Amino acid sequence: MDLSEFEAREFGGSDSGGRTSGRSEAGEILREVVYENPRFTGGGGEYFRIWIVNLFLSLVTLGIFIPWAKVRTRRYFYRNTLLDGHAFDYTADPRKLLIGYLIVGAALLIYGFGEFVAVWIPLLLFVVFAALYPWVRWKSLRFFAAYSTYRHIPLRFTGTAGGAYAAFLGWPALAVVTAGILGPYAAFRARAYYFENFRYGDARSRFSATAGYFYRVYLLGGLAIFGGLFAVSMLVGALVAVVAATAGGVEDYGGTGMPPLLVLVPMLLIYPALFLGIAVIRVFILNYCWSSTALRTPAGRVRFVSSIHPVRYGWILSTNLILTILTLGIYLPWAKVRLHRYRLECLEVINAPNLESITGAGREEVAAVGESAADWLDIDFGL
Amino acid sequence: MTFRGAKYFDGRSPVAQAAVVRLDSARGVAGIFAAAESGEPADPPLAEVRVDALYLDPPVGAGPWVMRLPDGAVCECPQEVYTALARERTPGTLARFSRWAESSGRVAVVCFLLSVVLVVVFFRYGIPLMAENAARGMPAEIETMVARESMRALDRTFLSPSALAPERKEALRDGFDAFAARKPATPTYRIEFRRSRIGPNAFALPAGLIVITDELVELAETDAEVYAVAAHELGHVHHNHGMRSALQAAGHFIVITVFLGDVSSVLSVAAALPSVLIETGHSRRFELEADTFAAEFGMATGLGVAPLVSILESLTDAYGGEGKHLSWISTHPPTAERVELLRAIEAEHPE
Repeated sequence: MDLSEFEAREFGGSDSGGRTSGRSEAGEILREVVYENPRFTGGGGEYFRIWIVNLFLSLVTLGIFIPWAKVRTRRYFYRNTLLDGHAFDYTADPRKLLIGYLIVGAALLIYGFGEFVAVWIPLLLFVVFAALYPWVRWKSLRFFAAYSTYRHIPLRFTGTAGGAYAAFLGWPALAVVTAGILGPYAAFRARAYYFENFRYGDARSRFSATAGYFYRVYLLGGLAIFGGLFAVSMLVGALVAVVAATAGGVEDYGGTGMPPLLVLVPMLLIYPALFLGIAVIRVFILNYCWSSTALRTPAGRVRFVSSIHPVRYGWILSTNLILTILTLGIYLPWAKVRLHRYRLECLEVINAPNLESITGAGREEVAAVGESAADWLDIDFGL
Repeated sequence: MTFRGAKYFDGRSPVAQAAVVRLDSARGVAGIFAAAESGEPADPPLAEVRVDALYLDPPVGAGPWVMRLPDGAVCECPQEVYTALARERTPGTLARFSRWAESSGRVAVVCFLLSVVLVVVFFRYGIPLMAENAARGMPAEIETMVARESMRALDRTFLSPSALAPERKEALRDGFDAFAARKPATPTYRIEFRRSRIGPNAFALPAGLIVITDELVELAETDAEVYAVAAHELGHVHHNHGMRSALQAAGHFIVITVFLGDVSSVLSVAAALPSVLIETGHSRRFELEADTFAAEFGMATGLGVAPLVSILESLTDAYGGEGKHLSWISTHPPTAERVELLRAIEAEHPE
């Protein structure tokens, strides 16, 4: 097999122009490689109208409309996101989601009120929830995939329930038992469960990441967070010492402890620091996972390069949060659009036209309990 | 009628075929044809479907106009096809309604204002009313269980056994019972004493359980002041505030989770904020209600209002005065306001 044949198989032929394209260093021998970012054609103002109408309908129907609102919101984002000139779509039936919502809602209600009746009720529910959690995630991934389409072909999630139990219960348990030594490995297994089990038609995803990178990121991130916390506690200690010296003794503050401001300011510093530290770890891991993922289509591989910048990402998240609070929630639709745009800006798809070569497998019906549970519990897919 | 510029997907292949849609109104059939080089429809048709079997799926915002065929194939078409088809076969009422509502700025403004009103009304009146009714219908066994669990939790965290002499506790209980006996229709109650890590304080739990801290007994200059505090707590018992506020908090939690559940976890932090503010707003109202009860109790039993006023002032001093507190976020209204209310009730009851 000579090089050009290899390249043709690996990257596929592409004669569709109009996108940014690059040539490999070998020049003429190699076929063209197409780089493209998905584009979002919607906007904050447009989404505001959709958001507020659906919010109002949800309120006025006492929540019954929520599944319709959620599906509509997701459809807005999917249908207005284009890759290689084609849109995504989300085709889930809100009626299916409603049943799931009612089941999970009842469980939450028992959880919320159970606490007031006897301590063991939420405890029992917590154990039940922990036992069901991997199953919920598995179901939810299958549902999410089956009703997410690109070029009107649904994705599929082929992970098994057993795999979910290993990834979300088995490995985390081992990580706890080994006092965290296996923690990064468990995180790696959980990510691998997503990234290696997706299919688009007959194109399987391949995930070539290794646990070594997870160990490096978690170690450095952990050190940074603890360093930050240490610095803050030193600062608090110094402040207390100064105040105590000027006020003539710590015991002056007696039962009420330190002056509130002295505790409040460092506490306010700790949370953003912690938040930023965790965000940085997540961003690095996310970038690495996407960049280690490829879809093997008959025409060649489709790969991804994710290049989210931790500082820029943190800036967007925190300014979104502040503006949303300051505007009493009105900014929320713009915040969501801004974050979505940024994520797409940072996701480069290599050889997206190869996706045209796959064969779809038709539709399958998937129950929605898992998906609704994931929504309630605010599970983020990080995609 | 013939429409060019459509895209046809057969549902199995991701390839988009340039297509022409031909609408035969007489037969009620839509034919989808591959578009030849010239742009003309090429026979045979890719699909031929009865118009009433088509599922019309309008865009959300901008985006493509989609019609779905029964076999899973999809046709993205120009809006004119859609408009023409819509005359033959009305798309889903909900989809049409949503599309109309979402594309109008005026509707958005109206929805926004109505949403604000709904939320305010629901939080201000709806949830408290529901909590009040639920608390009234709550079986006594559950209230007792709740009180027991809460007391256990408090004993583990903030409280430790009282260091007061048993005779002293007995004397205080008997003293208050004597006053309470003079007022008709007092709710059943039980007074407990505890040493606390949170300074002088008192609170009422469901099922009439009143807890007074040793520190408060020590702070009180007379026993009448302790009775005044007990009367205030009895007011909470009378209005069932403990159960109501627990139910209200649960209600707020559920409503906020339901409506803001889809925002990213970062924004959920912000969601907790309004909840805190609402909670403190309600609890201030409850305090004023309990003060009113205590004042009326005082006037009816001969305990008077003065002991409550003086213990309130001592408490304010003990906590370092109003100025050092963020009084707008505090769960109790400013002392001056409370004293004013007490004086007003006193004035209404000429001896």
